[in-house]
Parts: sequence; structure tokens; C-alpha cells
Amino acid sequence: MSSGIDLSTLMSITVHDIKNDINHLIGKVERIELEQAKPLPALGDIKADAIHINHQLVQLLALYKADEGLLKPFINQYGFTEFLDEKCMQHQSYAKAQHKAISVHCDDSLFAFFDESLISSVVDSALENALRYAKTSVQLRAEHAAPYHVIHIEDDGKGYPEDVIHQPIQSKSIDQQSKHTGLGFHFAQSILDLHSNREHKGYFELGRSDTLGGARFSIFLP
Amino acid sequence: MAHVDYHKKKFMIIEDHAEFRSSLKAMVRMFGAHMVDTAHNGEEGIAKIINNQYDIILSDYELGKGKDGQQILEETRRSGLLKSTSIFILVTAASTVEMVMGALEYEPDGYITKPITHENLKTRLDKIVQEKNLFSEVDRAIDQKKYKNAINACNKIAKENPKYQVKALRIKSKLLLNLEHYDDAGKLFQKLVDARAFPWAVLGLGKIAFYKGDFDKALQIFQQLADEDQRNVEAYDWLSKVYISQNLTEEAQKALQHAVERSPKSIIRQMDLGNISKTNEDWSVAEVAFRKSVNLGKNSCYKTPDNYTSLVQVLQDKISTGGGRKTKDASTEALRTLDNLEKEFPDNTETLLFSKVLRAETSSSLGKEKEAEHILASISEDIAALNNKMPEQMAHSLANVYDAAGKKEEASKLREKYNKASANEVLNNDGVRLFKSGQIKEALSVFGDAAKAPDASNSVLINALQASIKLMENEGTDDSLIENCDRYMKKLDGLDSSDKNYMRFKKLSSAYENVTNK
Repeated sequence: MSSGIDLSTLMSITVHDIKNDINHLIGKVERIELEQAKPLPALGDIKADAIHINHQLVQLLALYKADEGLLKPFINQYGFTEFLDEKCMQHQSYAKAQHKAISVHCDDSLFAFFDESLISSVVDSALENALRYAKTSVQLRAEHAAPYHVIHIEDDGKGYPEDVIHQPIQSKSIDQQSKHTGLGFHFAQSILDLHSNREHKGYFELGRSDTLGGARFSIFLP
Repeated sequence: MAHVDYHKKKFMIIEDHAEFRSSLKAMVRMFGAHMVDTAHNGEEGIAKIINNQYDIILSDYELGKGKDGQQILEETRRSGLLKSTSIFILVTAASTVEMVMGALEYEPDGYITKPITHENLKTRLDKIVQEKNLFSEVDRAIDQKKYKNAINACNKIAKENPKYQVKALRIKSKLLLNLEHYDDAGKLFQKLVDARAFPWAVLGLGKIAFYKGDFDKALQIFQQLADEDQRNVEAYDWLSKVYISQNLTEEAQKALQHAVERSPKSIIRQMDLGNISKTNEDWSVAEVAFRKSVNLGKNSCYKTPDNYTSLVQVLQDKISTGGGRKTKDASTEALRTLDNLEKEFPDNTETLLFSKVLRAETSSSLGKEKEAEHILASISEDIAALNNKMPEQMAHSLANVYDAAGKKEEASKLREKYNKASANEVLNNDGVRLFKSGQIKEALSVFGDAAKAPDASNSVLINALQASIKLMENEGTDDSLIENCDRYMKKLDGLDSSDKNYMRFKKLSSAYENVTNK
């Protein structure tokens, strides 16, 4: 570049600024929402869209940091019920507005070790995705399958096309033709790469939901 | 999730952005809170926390120019203004969570990432309040300084709530370190590391190695942590501690410079860096570090005259050798710093005297010997009244003034005394380390040597006394030990009840009676 500024640095700074602007926008919508006597569905939609954009920008920035070797997880112990209940409630009002239901299925004693904010981000986008494609319901499920703890995000929509399920992750990531950047997949893999314990590494898997018949996005945490 | 009642909770919201501030306030009111105070920056927040007992504090991490949320937490917790049972929550950008939660010493009770919606805030608050309730017995015991009870409460949580086991054991490890139970703490850290390589537990293993005197192992552990994650500021802090204990002051400075670069707002680190670079005579680094310490210390529980006096001391080199503009700027800054020092600590006579000595030193550095002499003459009685008990740093500056005035003999007399005092200090520190690692006999031989000096400090005498008693408790009484103890006790007899060593002396006196009556 002729200007001498590193393009990727410039982009990351810009993304950061846009993210902050979006945060301000969400703050404004939130205030208007609080002032309403009755909920305004249109406002809820705007907020959900803005939050979705925010999530994507956060992921983009995290990927940039990971690429620079600056993304380090803070691994702690978390109970799955508490974690998933919280995720469920955070998406509840949007789900209701869409007339869809989210449910949590988890043994209360289950816990795992992960970076709460990073895995939260992975679950958020999987959940947003599931809510978009679900007909009526989405479920969050956790189980222990040694040496992993697994979070499944499932819906009753059409499910992933067979070829997407069987594609290797790299080609899932960027598909120029379908205009699908696969940011979510790429982000999920980068985050799960950072979640390793001894010889086991974290990963995700796509499949069909046994219980709901739609898509299943599974996060494996060692 | 169980219902949490916010009706009776007293809230404080610290947020610099007006719109976010009022929207946060509106949200917690919607959850049922009646008492909600706000502050628009860290200074205002701290002032309000001092005067009110808040149950829940929500603070933005980034607060513009002044103190950040982490500093508010550190200052209010450290000074005891904020009870352990109060909840402190940091509002952060998603990208700074690991910085906030990774801080071992002053960790918030929870964090909330932006953007905040009322759904997020409510679920998050509920969760944090419930977790805090689960640990309330631990927090109460810590507030009452009943650390053994706190440890028992941690054990109970770890056993009954496996989901919170790691958190409970992490608190327990901190308590064991406070109690100096290094063997138990070491075993606990090892157990945790065997299960999973938590960086904070690995750091704990390094601390244990340090306290036990295994400096090579400590160095290796801290270095490895620093290599793994350059942002692990605590690893660099500890690296510098090990280097200092080995007298490798340049390495210590390098490690601290790295830590300060990563966390420039931490006043303690700036002070440490200032002191070590002053030792290394790296004046430009010391100057910046002390200047920052002075600025960060304003309206802070860390405000101390030392930062002001040190800044003026390290400016002297620039004043005398900088020339032209540099000399002028440096002397202006030195005098302005002394003006502020005198204004900030108007009742501290020793500080005011030191300030005068520094004014004289600054005049000397400027080549204005007459002026320096004039100042010295005005304080000669106060200096004589110190009766040979001058603080080291003041003696150091005074010796410089004598030198410049051609009073070589007085200067070298003062320096000799000062150097002996600091050599004794080094001995004392060596002894403390040996004592902490359980090498009582070795510690006693070091303390004993230092205590022989006619002007041995009270700290040295007390340490010698403690080591002697400990040795007798372990191995039985001994005539020569008893003789030494009597000598130390006699010297310490007139100790004022306001002296920081007084309580320790009282305890040791009764321990001494116990051991000799056996």
C-alpha cells in the first residue's frame, strides 16, 4: 500500500469503531424500549439485528487478535445449567417475538472448563442461527461424553444441507459463490482451538438433531 | 434461576457516558431497585463509596482519562472501604474480559460485556448475586480476618458444590498464602495444576518456590508463564521480585518495564519501577515512573510523599548535567513538585524537612551554592534534632548538598552511616527470607549479626528476637540464646505503643516467657 498504513491494522481499528457505534445504537434503542409502556416489536427486531451485527464484529476482532497471537483464553470452571440458562434468557425476548421457544436440557451437576466470554460468543451465534431457521423450537442441551463436555444447539428447521455437514471445516469457512463467508464457523474453530487440555483439543461438529429433526451444532470442550 | 430481590439493594453505577449511565440506572430501577446512585468518573465513584455502603457496584472498565474500573476496585477493596460482601461488577468490552478476570489479586465478583441490554443485565446480575450468596460465609470470615474459618467455608463449598470447586480452592490457596502456610498452599496448587494447567495455579507454584528460597525454580516457572503469554503481568512482577532477591537489578528493571508497558495505570508497579531504575541509576526511566506515580497517586489510597521526593531526587542528574533548556525544565518541575508535596502533606514535619533538603539539593545542582547554604542554615536545628535518626533518602540528598558545598568530610561521614544502615537492611531482608523458608538457625545467624550493630533498627532486633524464640521452641532453651534475647528485649523495652512493631513485640514477650518457663 502506498500510504504506508498496514491495511489489516486499519481495518481492525475501523471494525472496533463500528462496534462501538453499534453499541451506542443498541444503548439508544434500549432506552427507547424502556420508555415504552407496551413492547414495540419493531424495536425488538432492530435491537436483535444490531446485536447480531455486534456479535459478528466481536468475532471478527477476536479472529484478528487470534491471528496476531494475542487471543488468550481465561479458562475457568462453569456450571452448564447456569451458563445455558443465561444464554436462553438473553435470547428469550427475540425468540418470543418470533413465536419460537428455547428450552434448556441439562443435568444440574454438569460443569466444564472454558473461557466464558469466548464460548458465550460461539453459542450466541449458533443460537441466533438456530432461531433464524427453526420452525417453532430450539433447544440447548449439554452432556458429558468423556473426555469431552458437549453443548448441542438444535432446532426443528430444515437442517444443514448434507454437503455442508460433510465438508471439511476449511472449505466451510469461505464460500464466495454462495456469499456465505462462514465467519461463525471460522470463529468457532479458532476459539475451540484455544480450548485444549493435555492431548485433547476442542472442536465443533455439524449434524442432524435426533430429537428435533433440524440442524445440530455441537461444541466439544475437553 | 431463583428470584433475586433488588428492592433493598443499594446500587452505585460508575459510567462516564451520560446516556449509558442513565440507561443503566433505568434498567436497575426496572428490576425493582430504589436506591441507585451514580458517578461519572472513578474519583467521584470512590468518594461516594467511602461515604455509603453499597451492596452492588456496577462500574465501566474504561472511564476515560481518570481511574479505570479495575483501579476503583483495587483501591476500595485494598483500603477496606468496600466490604468483601459487597458486589463489584465490571462492565467491559468483550475483548478485555480476560484482562479483568485474569487479575488474581483484585478480581471483580463478575463482569458484564457490552452491549448491555436489560435482558443481559438481569440474567447476569441474578447469577452473580447467587454466586456471591453461596460464598457469603467465606466473605464474612475474610472481613473479620478469621482466615481459618474462611478456609473451612471454602472446603465446604468445594465438597458440596463441585461446580464451584475451582473457585473455592482458588480462594483457599490465596488464604493459605496469606497465612504463610506454604506447604499446604504448594500441595493445593500442585493438585490444581495436575488437573489442569491454570496459569494462576502455575503462578502459585512459582510463588511457593520463591518463598521457600528455591529461586531457580521460581525463575523458571515465572519465565515460562511470561513466554506463554506476554500479557501475564503478574508473571513479570514476580520475575522482577526474584531478580531483586538475587540482586540482579537490571534484569528486574527489564521485567518491570515490560509489566508497566502492559499495565501503565498500576501505581504500585510504577513505584517499583521507579525504585529499581533509581538503584540502577537509569534516571530517565526512573523520572517517568515517579512522575506517573505522583499523578496516579492523586486522590488515591496510594498517595505517599515518597513518590514526590523520589521524583525530585532522580531529576537532579538532569538539572546538573542537562544544560540549557533541559536544566531549566527539570529544575522547574522539581520545585513545582516540592510545592505540591508541601501542599499535600502540610502536617508531616519530616516530609517538610525533607522537602527543604531537596530544595537545597536542587539549588546545588543548579550551581547556586549560596542559596543552598542559606536553606541548609535555616534547617540546621531541625536536622540536629533528628538525632542521627535521619531517613536514608534524606541523608543521601543531604550528603550531595554537603559535597557540592565542599564539605567533603561531613558528606562522607553521612554516607558511611547511610551505607552501613542500608547494608544492615540487606542483611535483614536475607534473614527474613531464610526465616520464612523455615531455615531458622541460618536466619538467626544473619539477624544476630545485624543486631550486633549499635544502631540496629527495631525491625532487626525484633526479627532476631523472634528467630531466637522460634529456635528455642523447636530445640529447647539454651543459655546463650536466653542471654541474647534479654539483650534484645532490653533494647526494645522503651518501644512506643504507636510503633508498628509494638504488637509484635508484646506477643513475642509473652512467647518468650512461655518458652523460658518450660
